[in-house]
Amino acid sequence: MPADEAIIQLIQAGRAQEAFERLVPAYRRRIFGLAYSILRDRGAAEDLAQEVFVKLWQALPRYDGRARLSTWIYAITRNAAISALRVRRHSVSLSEPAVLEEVEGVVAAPGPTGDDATLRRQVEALPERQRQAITLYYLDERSVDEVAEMMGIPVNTVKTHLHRARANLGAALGVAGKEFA
Amino acid sequence: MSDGEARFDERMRGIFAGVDTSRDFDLRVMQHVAALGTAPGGDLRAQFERRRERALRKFRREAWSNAVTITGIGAAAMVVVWHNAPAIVQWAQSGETATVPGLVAGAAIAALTGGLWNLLRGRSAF
Repeated sequence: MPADEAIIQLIQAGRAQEAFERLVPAYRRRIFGLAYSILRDRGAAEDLAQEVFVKLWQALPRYDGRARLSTWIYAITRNAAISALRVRRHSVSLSEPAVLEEVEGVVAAPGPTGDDATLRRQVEALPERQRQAITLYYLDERSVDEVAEMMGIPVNTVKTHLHRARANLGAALGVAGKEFA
Repeated sequence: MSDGEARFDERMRGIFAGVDTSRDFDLRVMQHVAALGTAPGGDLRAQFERRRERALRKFRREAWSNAVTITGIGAAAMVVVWHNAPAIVQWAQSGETATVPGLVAGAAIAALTGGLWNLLRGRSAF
């Protein structure tokens, strides 16, 4: 990716501030998307993305170029998101208002209505990896290769998750099930 | 791609439409990092400096304590040699070996000199 090369050159030249200024717009959407695919909540994903950028700010001079910049950034994001998810799961019980609010927010999020709302609920009901793969794939129309890199798993595994997710969604939606199963 | 798949893709894109960061996201990131008040990696550099300072203090303490110990040993050895000089000379002249008193005194002087030298060097370094 050309943007990555420019960012890496700036880091290697010791110009981490400029590198960071380029990195934010280049990775904002991807970091947010990855966080959203794991946390399933727009607000939480945005907060986490902010946190990840602060981590990147602190760690940028340490980037040694051994892994691809994107791979390194996705790994930091995944770890942060999984930690946040763990903390959230441990710190709230299902009866708490925050959880109810979150669930209602997911179900009644603005935008999709009618059939789309049903589809959204079906997506939410998918197994975690399938839901994550399909979210990343459709959120920004990313390639399977990029989804694999973001999730940190092999391309073929992503293809399997996507295929199964489509099959599950198709089956759950009745008519569509015949089209994709 | 079949029509069904195309429709499915369209619907899937639809349910994620509008899922995005707020408009001032980049600005808030910059405000966050500006609030840290350091250059990128500044925290790491500060951490490194703190560790380096701690290590230096530890080495200085150890050098001081080593110097004091060596000086003490040297001084004690000198006192022993000084107080027992006649006995040592007598023992040496008994024919066992003529070099022993010289060696003992030499070792004591060396220890004392080494300790003092370390002590003075350490003090000038602080």
